[in-house]
Amino acid sequence: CTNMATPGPSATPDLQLVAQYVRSELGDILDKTPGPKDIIIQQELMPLLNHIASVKFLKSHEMDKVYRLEPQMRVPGYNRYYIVRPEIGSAYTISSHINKDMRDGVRINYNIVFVPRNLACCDYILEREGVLGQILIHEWNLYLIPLDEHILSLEIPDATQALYLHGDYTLLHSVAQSVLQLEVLYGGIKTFQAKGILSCKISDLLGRLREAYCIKDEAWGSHDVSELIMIDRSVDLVTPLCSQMTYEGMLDDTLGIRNGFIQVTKATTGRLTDTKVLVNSTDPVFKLIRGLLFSKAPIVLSRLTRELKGEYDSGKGAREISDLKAFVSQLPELKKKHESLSTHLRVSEKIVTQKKVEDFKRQLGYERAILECQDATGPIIEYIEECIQRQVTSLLPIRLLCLLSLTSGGIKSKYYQSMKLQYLQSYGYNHLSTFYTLEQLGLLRERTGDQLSYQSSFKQFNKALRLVPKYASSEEMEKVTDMSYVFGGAYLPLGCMAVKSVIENGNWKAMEDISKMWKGPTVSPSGTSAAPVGVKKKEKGAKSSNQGRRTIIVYFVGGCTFSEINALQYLGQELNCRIVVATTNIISATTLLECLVNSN
Amino acid sequence: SDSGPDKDTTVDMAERAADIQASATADWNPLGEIYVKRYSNYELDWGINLADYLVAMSPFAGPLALMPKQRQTSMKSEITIYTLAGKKISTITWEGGRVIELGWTLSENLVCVLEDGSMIIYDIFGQFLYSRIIQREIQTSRVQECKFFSYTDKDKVFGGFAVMTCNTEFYIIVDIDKGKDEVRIKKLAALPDASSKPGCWAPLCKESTSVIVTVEDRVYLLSHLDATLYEINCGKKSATCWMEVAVSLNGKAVALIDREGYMWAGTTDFKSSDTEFDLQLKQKVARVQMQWGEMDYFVLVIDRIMFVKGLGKHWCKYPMNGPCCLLAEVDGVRILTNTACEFIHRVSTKSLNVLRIGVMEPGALLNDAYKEYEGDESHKADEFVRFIKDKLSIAVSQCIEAAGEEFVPKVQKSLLKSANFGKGFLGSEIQPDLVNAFVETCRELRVLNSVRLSKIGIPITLRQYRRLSSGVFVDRLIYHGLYHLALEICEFLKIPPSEGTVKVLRNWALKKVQDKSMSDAEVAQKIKKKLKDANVVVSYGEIARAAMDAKRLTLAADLLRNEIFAQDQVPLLLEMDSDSTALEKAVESGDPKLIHQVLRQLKLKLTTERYYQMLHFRPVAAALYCKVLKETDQEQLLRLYRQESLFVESGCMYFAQSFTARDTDIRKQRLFDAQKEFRDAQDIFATKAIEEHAKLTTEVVKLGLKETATLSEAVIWCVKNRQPRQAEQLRKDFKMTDHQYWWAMIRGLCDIGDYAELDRFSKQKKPPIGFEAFAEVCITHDNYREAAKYIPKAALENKYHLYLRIQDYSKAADAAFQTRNIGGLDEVAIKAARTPEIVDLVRQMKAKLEGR
Repeated sequence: CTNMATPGPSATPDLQLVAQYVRSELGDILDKTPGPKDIIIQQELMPLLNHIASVKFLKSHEMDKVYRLEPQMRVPGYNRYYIVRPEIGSAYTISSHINKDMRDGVRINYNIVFVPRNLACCDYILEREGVLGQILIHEWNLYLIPLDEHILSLEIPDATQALYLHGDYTLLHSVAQSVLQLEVLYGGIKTFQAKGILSCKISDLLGRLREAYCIKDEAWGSHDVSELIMIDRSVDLVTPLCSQMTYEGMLDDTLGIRNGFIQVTKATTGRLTDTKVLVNSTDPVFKLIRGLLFSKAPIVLSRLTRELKGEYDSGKGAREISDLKAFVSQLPELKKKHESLSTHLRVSEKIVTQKKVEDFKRQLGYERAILECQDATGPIIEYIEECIQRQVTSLLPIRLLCLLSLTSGGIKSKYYQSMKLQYLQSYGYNHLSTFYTLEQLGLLRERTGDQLSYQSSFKQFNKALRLVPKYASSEEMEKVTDMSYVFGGAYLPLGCMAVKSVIENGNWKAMEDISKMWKGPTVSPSGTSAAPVGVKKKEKGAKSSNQGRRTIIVYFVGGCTFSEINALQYLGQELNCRIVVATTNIISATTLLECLVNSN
Repeated sequence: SDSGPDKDTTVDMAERAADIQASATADWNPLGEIYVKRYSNYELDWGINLADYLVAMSPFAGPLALMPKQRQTSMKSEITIYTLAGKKISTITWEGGRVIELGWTLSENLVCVLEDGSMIIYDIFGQFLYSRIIQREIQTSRVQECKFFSYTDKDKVFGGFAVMTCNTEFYIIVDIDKGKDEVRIKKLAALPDASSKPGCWAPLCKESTSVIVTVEDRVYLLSHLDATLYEINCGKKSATCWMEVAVSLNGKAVALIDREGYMWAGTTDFKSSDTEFDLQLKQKVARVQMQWGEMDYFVLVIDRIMFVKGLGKHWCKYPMNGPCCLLAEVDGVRILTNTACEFIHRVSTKSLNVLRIGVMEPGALLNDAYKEYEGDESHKADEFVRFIKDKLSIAVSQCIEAAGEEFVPKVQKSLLKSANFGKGFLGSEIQPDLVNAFVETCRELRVLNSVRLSKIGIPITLRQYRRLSSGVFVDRLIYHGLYHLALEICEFLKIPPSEGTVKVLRNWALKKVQDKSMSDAEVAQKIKKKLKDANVVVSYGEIARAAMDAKRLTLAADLLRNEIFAQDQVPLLLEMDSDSTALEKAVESGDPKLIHQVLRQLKLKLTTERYYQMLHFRPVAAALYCKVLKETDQEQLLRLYRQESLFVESGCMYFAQSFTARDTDIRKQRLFDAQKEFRDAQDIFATKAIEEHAKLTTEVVKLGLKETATLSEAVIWCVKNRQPRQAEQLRKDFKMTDHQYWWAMIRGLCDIGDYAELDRFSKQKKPPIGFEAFAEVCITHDNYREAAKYIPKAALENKYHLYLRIQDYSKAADAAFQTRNIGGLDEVAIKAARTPEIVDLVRQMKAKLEGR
C-alpha cells in the first residue's frame, strides 16, 4: 500500500531516482545469498524499507517473509537477512538469536545488512558473543529517503539530540555521503553554501570524499541541481519551537507524521483497527490542503466534498452505456478520494477538539508576545507558571520557556530558578536533568549578572527583517503574501529568511551584516561574483514554465519542520525555482522536546 | 616424386628485390596456397650452446630461462633469465635437487619442476616467490617428464604444466600464479597400458585439461575421469610407433610423427585428418621437435633441418646450422638458436593484399600509385588512383593493415605513407573509423617498435599485442621494471590514468622503497617529486606499508604523512604505534567507521589511564566512546565522567539510576552519590533539589501515595481527601509559593466538585493568582455556571476571553466593547451567528467604536 506513485512531470529532477538507486543496491545484496530468504528488520527501518522497496520487489529477490526484529522470535527459513542500524543493541539481539540456534543445532546462513554502514563497535559485540565468523556482513548505503516529491530525509529520529547534545558526529559523514549520492544521480552541484559549524564540517568532509572517489567537477554530465544550501539547525532554534499552523504542521504537532505516515486510531476512523495512512502528494486531498493554514482547510475540504458528491451524482445521471462505462472507470479514483476525504475530515475534527482543550488561541497570543521580544516578561512568566501548575501537558511550559530564552537571550535568574523549581515540584524531581539537557542544547539559558552579554541575535533579526510584522487589522494579517503565512502572518521563520537571503544574494553577507552574533562559520562558493545569481520575481500574469527552472536543495542539518518545508515551497513559487528540502529528520516542537523531557 | 619442396624461390626472388616491397617479400616462401616468412628478430652473440641447456621460452615474446643440463642429482648450478635479445635479466644460484623442466606462467613467473615432486616459483628478477610439493604421492614416484602448456582461444587464456611420474601417472597443475595454497592439482586416469612405456605425450586443453599419450601405435586420451583409446585410420602399411605429438594452442588440432618420418595431423577427436604424409627418412630419427603455427601449418625440426608442413602435401624446408628450440605463439612459431631469435609465421592475407607481386587488390594499386608519385611520375600515380577510385577506402584500410604486420620500420613507414596518400583523396568523405584505424595503428607500431629494440628485447607482433590488450601489456612492462617506458606508452596510448599512469607509478614507488642504494630521505624525496609531477593520486599508504615491510620505518613515516585518505593512513599509523596521530587523523577525517576502529584498537592496546588521556582533548572521539559505554558499561562511563570532572553528567547519571535500581538500598546510595557529584559541581540548586526529593519521597510514602508522586500531586491529593492539615504541612515544609498553593487548592477542589468550598476559598483573601484562575479551572471541568461566578471579579482585559469560552456571548461582546477590541467583536459575531440579537448588538457596538 505504500509505494509512491511517480510524481507529475513538474517534478524534475525526479527524486524517485534516489529510491531506485538504493533499491537496486538492496537487490544486489539480497542476491548474494541465493535461495529463499527471510528478512528481519529493525522496527524503525521498516517504514523506510516500505518507501524504497515493494513486497513485489523483495519477492523477486526470493524474499519469503519480513519480520520485525524482536529479542525472541521464531523464523523458519534457512537464509536470514537482518537489516539493522549499526547499534550495539541490535548486535546483541542478533547474537542471542544465533547463539540460540547453535544450541538448538540449527544451521542457518546469517547475513547482516548494516544501514548505512557497519561500525567497529558492532563487530566487537558480534565477536565477543562468538558469532562474527558465521555472519556475512553487508552495508546498504541507504541515506536519503524520498518522502515526497520535494522532501528527502535521512530519517534519523534522534538526529538533533545526537548532533547537539551528545556531540555524536556520526551523522555528518552520512550527510556528506548523501550529498555525494545526489551528485552521482543528478550531476555535480555547482554552488554549495553552508552556514553553521556542522554544515561547514560537512562541506569539508564532502571535499575529502570527492577527492577519495577522484571526483572532479568536470566529471559530471548533467547538472540537474544548480545549488545546495546547507544550514545548521542551531542557526534557528526558534522556528521549530513555534506552534505550527499549517495543516501538515498541525498534523505533525498533534498526531505525529512518522516517516511519511500518520497513525489513525480506530476511534477516529470508525474502523476495526488502527490504520497507517501515507500522507504525501499521492494523496489527492492532502496535496491540496497540506500547505494551507489549518483554519482554512475546512473550507477546501467542504468544497471537495461537494465536488465529490457531484462526481458520484454524475454516475446516477448517466443514461448511455458509454457514460456508465466512463463513470465506472473513474470509480477507483473516486473511492480513493472519498477515503482520503473522510480521513482528513475526521483527523481535522480531532485536532480541533484537542486544541480547544489546550486553549490554543490564548497560547498563541503568548507565543506571539514572546516572539515580539517585549521587554516586560512578567505576564509571560505568569502564564508559564500557570501552565506548570495546571499540568495540562509537560511539554508546553518547557517549550514556552525555551522560546522565551532564545528570543530574549536567556531568562532572568530569579524567574529561571523559580520556574525550574516549580516544574520539578509539579512534574517530579526526576526532571532535574531535563534542564541540564536543555541548557546544553542551547535551548535554555539562565541570565545572571551583566545584561549586555545576553543580547540575542534573534532580536536584531526581528528588528531588521520585521520577523514579527505588525498589522493594522486581522484582515490584513490574513492576506500576507510572504512566508509568514505559515504562521498565520504572525512570524517569518528565521531559517527560511536566511535561505531566501542567500538565494537572492549568492552569499551570507546580508545576514551577517544584520547580526554579528549570528553564530557559526560559513562556506560560500569561491570565485563567484557577489552579484545576485539572477533571481527575478515572478512577473504578474506571466506563465511560469518548468523548463529551465533552477533546482535548489536546502539541506537542514539537525532537522526541520513541516512549516519550514511549506514556507520554502511558497518561496519556490515566489522566486520561480524548485526547492527541494533535504534534512536529517523532520521535527516538531513535540518530537524535539518529547524525548528530552521524557527521557527521565 | 612430388615430395620435394614446391619451388626454391628464395634465390629467384632475391634477384628482383629492387625496392622495399621486394625486400618485404624476399623471405616469403610459398607453401601451397599460402606463404610463410622466417624473420630474424635478433642476432645473438651470447656464446651459448643450447644443446647443453634446459631452455624455457614464454609466449607473447616473454623472457627466456636457461639452465645447464644437470648430469648429477645435486650439483651447484645456475638458472639465467634473458630477454629474447639475449640480454641477461637475472641469475638464480641453484643448489636444490634435479630440475626436470623449466617453464613460465602466464604472469611471467618462472617455474622449476624438480624430480622429487616439488615446484619452485621465482619472478623474472630471480626473487623466490614460493615452493611446494606438487602432491605427496609424487615424492615417492618421482617426476620423469614435465610439459608446460598454454591455451589461447578467443577470449580465454589459460596455462599450467603436466607431469608424468616414473610409474606413468599423469598430473595437471594449474593456477600457479594465484599463490602457494591456490594451486590446483588434478590427477588423471591411469594409462591402460601401464606396463609398456609411452612413446610420447602432450597436454591437451579443451573444456577440461587432459593428456594425449601414445603407446606404440595406440593413442590414449586421459581425462581425470577415464582413459579413451583412439583408433587412427592411417594409411601407413607397416606398424607405426609414434614418437612425438604436438597440440595447437587452441586445442583443436593435433599432429603425430613416428620414427620413420610418417606424419598424421588432424582434429583432436582423431576423427578427421587433413594431412597424412611420409617424409620417408632414410634412417630412424632420435629426436623431433614439433610445434603448431596456426591451424594450417606446423613446424618440425629433425636433425638440423626445419620443415614447415602445410596442409595436404605441401611443405618447405630450411636448413638449421645448430641446435634450436621452438615455441608456439598465437600467430606463428618462435625459434631460438645459438645465434638468433627468429620468428616463422604465415604471411597474412593483409600483407598479401598489398605486397604480393602482381596482385590487383586496391591496396596494392594504391601502394604502387604512391611509389609512382614519389618517383615524380605523378601522372601515372593519378592513373592508378583513378583506377581504384571507388575502392579507395578499402585500399587505404588494406595499406594500414599491411603496415601492422611488418617488423621493419622502413616498410611500416612506406605502407603508412601510401595509406596517408590515399586518405588525401578521400577528403572530407573519409569514414571516421578509417581515420581512427590509421591513428591507432601508427601509435601501436611506435609502441611496438620501441619495445622490439634489442635493449628491451620484446619482439611482440601486433596480433600478439592486441590479443594481450594494452592493459596487460603495460602490466608486463611494469613487471619487467620498465617503468619509464611503461609511463611513456600509457601517455602515448592515452590509457586512462587509473589503468595506466597510476598503476605504473604505484609499482615504481613500491619497488623504489626497496632500493637500499639510496637513503631514506632521497627515496622519499624522489617518490614525492615524481608523484607530484605526474599529478595523479597514488596511495601513499600502500607505499608506506611497503617501506615498513622493507624495515624502513623512517621512510614509511615520512611517506605516510603525505597520504590524504585517512582510511589508508590510520591503520598503518596504529601499526607504527603513532597512536595519538592515528586518533587525530581519524577524527579529522570525520569518518565514524574509522574513529570506532581506532578507538577499539587503542582500547585493546593502552591502559585505561592512557586511553582516557588520549580522549581528553578529542571531544568527537570521546562522544562516540561515551555512546558505546552508555549501552555497554555504565560504571566505566561514570569513571570517565569523574576523570574528566564532568560532575553534572555523573550526577545526572547517578540520579537517573536512583530511579531505576531495583534494590532500595542501592537507590539510596545512588541518590547519595548524585548529591555528592552535584556538590562537587558546586550546583547548589541541584543539591537542594535532591535533598527535597528525598524528603518528599518519605512524605508521600507516609501519606500512602506511590513513591513517584510529585509535590503538586501530593498537595492536590490532600485537598481531595480532605486533609487540609497535611496540605498545609507540605506547603510549609517545601516552601511552596502562594501561587503554587492556590493553584493546587483550586484544582483539588474542582476535581472533587466541591464548589461551595471553592467559593469559600476564593473569599478567604484576594487570590494571588487572580479570579481568572478560578474561572479557568472551572471551565476545564466544564462547569460554566461556576466559572461565571468568578469572571466578573476578573481583570477587565481578561473578561472578554473568559466569557467567550463559557459561551456567554452577550457579556463577551460587552467586555470586548469596553476594551475597544474590534477583532473580538467580530469573533463574537461569528460564534453567535445563530443568535440574531447578539449579532445585532455587536453591529451596534462596532458602529459606535468605529464611528468615533
